[in-house]
Amino acid sequence: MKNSLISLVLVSLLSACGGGGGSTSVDPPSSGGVGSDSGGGSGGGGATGPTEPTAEEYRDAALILDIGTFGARYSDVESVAESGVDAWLDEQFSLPISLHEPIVRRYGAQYGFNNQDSPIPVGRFRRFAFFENALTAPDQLRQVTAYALTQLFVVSQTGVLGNNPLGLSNYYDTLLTHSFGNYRDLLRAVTLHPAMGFYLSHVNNAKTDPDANTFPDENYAREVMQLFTIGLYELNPDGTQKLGTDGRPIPTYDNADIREFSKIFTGLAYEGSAGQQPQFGRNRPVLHMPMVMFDDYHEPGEKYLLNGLTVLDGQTGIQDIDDAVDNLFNHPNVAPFVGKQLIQRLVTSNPSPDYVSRISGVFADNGDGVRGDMKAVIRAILTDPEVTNASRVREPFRRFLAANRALNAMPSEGSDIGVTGFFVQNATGQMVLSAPSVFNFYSPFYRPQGGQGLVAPEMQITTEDTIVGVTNLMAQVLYGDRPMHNDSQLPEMRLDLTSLVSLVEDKEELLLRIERLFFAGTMSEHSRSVISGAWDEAVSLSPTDRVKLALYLALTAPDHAVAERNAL
Amino acid sequence: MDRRRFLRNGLGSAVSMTMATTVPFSLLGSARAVASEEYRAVVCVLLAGGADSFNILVPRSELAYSRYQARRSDLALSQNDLLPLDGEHEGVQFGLHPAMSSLQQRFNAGQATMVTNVGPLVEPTTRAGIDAETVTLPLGLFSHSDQILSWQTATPANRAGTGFGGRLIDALPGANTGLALAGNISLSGNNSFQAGAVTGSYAISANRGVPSIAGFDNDLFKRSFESLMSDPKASVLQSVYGNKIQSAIDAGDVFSSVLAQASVISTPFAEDSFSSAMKRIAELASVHEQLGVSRQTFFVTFGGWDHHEDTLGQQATMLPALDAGLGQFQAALDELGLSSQVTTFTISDFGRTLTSNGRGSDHGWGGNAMVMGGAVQGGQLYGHFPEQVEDNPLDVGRGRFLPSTATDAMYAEISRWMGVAPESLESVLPNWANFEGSPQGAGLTGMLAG
Repeated sequence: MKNSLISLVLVSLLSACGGGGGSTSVDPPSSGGVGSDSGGGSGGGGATGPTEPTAEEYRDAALILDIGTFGARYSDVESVAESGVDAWLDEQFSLPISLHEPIVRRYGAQYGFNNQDSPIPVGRFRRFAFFENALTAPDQLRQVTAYALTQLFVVSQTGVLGNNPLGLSNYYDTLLTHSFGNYRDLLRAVTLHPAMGFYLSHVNNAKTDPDANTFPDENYAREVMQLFTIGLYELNPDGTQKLGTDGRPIPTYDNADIREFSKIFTGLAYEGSAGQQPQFGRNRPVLHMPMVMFDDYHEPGEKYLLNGLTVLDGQTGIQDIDDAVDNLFNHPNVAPFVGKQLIQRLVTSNPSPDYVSRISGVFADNGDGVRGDMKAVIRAILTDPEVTNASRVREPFRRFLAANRALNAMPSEGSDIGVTGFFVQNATGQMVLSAPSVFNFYSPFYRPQGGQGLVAPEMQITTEDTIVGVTNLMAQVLYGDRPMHNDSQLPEMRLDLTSLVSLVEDKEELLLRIERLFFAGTMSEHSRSVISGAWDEAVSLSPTDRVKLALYLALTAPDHAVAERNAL
Repeated sequence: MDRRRFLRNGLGSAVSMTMATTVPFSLLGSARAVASEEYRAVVCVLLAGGADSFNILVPRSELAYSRYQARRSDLALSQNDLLPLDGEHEGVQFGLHPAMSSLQQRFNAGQATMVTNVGPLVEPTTRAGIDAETVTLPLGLFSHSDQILSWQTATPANRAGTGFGGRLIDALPGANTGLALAGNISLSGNNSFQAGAVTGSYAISANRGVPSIAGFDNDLFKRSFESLMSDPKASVLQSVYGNKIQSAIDAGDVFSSVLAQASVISTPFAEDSFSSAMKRIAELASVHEQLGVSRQTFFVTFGGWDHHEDTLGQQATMLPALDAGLGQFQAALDELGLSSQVTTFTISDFGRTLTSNGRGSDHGWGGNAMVMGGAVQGGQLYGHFPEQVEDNPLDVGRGRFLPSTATDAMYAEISRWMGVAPESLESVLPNWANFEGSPQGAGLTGMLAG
């Protein structure tokens, strides 16, 4: 109903101004963010009955859905344009969590793996769960936040984690559960998670044995500091490095600190399976329950942590871990270190120091004296004035998801979604929880050649090979037999282009929708004119093929691939 | 001349050189024609994760082995399983991990070596200098992400954005007259090693063909797409993206056409990803004339060496694949007659602790690098192998060794062999002047012949 309303409005506008190509959607750039200033207008509209949202409100809606979901759907663009960004955020923060492990267990049951305590030996079920939630879960902002966290707290499909999907699905659920919680609880849960224990080898990590000449494993001790909390160098709240008197960055820790922390992370083992008592060093991997502490295998004695904190002799292992988690969580680096990376994952690769500083401030104190409030941090990141100045190469993996969501990829009625993701993984090199190492798919500091010093992590995996692969992937989504996979053993799947094809007589409205679905509400004049020209030339194509041509050009356009304004 | 036309001309010269005996001189510009015997290339194999190379090269003389065994405890290889290397080094006999039979064979044939206890340093560094904090150390010692960059860039005190391989090709202007991107070819995507200030690099897949954009047989499709990529008002990163697409299309055309002419290699290769990558490198080296390049770097990553646990088991699984890939590659070079013109070497984040964490080893510093090829004056080891005793002053904790030889020394010898003039060496290795004449810079001259 609303669609036709917009069409009518546009048609009358077009006839009124003589149908100038493209002019209806070109508005002056917004000076504000997507926050309450620009989104609040529709709230007032409610008092006087529904009014058509302004172009700016549409753009704000398109932008928040671009960064806060796995891909805008046009019905969401319309409803967020009407309700406003703040209302959408409020709703997203309050939705129940769509978990992954229950989906894995649902598939497990279909194949006869019903025992709650046993492994499910079909690794691809965790992929099914991811794609099902990415496509259909209402709590998109939480799903996207957890996805961002998978690239910070990296665990990857390897060894037993590849064979038993309970480990990675439960790990993803741990990230989902704490996405809008507190960073301290998130850090503790990750530390005790058996998937992390396996991946960074602190499960079954024993105390020093002088007779055998063995020492605690340093792996988790190092990476929890370097990657999950404080990083290598002391930072200012705005994310820039502090410099010492010699003009060089100041290390946050040295190898002696690593050895102290390595003592903390001793004594953890897998929970027992199927009624068995857990045993240190020997029990089978149980990947969906937190690791348990064996104090006999935990390093005794004092431990010297950061900023002068000493952990006293005689504590339990879990008390030691809690003290270490607090020690890291309260380090001043955490706010800029974690805050900046969340900005990079969600909004822009090149936030200004002021942007980082604002987020650091919210991380340090949510306004009620609480440190590490993720909900406040995420809201601040997504509603910062700088979101309109993004300079970010879109993750190829998320371009694939966004195309399928926007174009309504769904299996036939009553069928499972059942997408494995090998299709997109082969083309992009990316798959959730499948990075080549704990250092993720790319470095947060990567600067591409020719980028004039700008950071673009995603360009690190953009090679001559993958850039063509991703381009062809977009053609496959549109023209292939199945938009999300090429496996005839998997459920059938189709795009639904009906509403776009129905606009075949209304190029301007079609372009407007494309702009809102794939360009965060702002398409370049160049892309608009190329798509428009191709559309005019393709008059002999069937309506569906004509729409597909326009969509293909949109999905491969540089300003779709790279969310960037010329402002920089 | 715009870049597109330049690339096209590159293709033109490449095709002319193979299809006609007379080369249209204008296409080659002012540079000299490239003669086959002048071709030289290096292959950098990155063992990502930090390979435990003190279990690849192991002392087998009684005293030295007993010290090794005591320090490594449950990680020690059995003395009887070591593959003997001929001769002695500093009075000690050595052996290789039992999986490294190709390396053993090439070593004993004088075509391979290992540079021992080599690693990134900024300047000559002693234990006393570290303790007194009077020496500049590499950024992020013992950290994967830092030491992997220190090895690739040879600028361990800063992150300049260029790598050793890229600067090496930059320093050899005139050597590559054809497709400029072909001076640095990666089998493992974008990397810091091949980032040059001037020359670019090209990433190619080992087991896929050179990709081309689907649907380009349709004129409207092709025209619209190409026009889409050339927005005169594109922002900085959009231009980076659009240019990458364009170079993928242009260079893809060249590589497709040139690789179709590559000699068929009869040396059998395994089908795992490392061997596939090495096979593709051999094919690419065989068409260097058609690509119009006479100095090349290749880069390939073989990952998964971060063995904090199950070191013995994981090395027993992975080293055979490494050794097979290196051995097959060298055999293919023999077949192509390029054995003495291509030198392969390994780098890795770091060596690892000699001591065990009960299941594996942790991050270290100095390690042992392999060097293989017909130009290698092999059959002997290079550098100083550290005594594996607890009170060795080079041991900075748990058997992490301060390198006895700087990475720069190894790279300086490679640069010299590739033809970098002495006065240009500083542009390739900015810290080399610190090491020239010092113990940590010495001992590798002449490792590569010619």
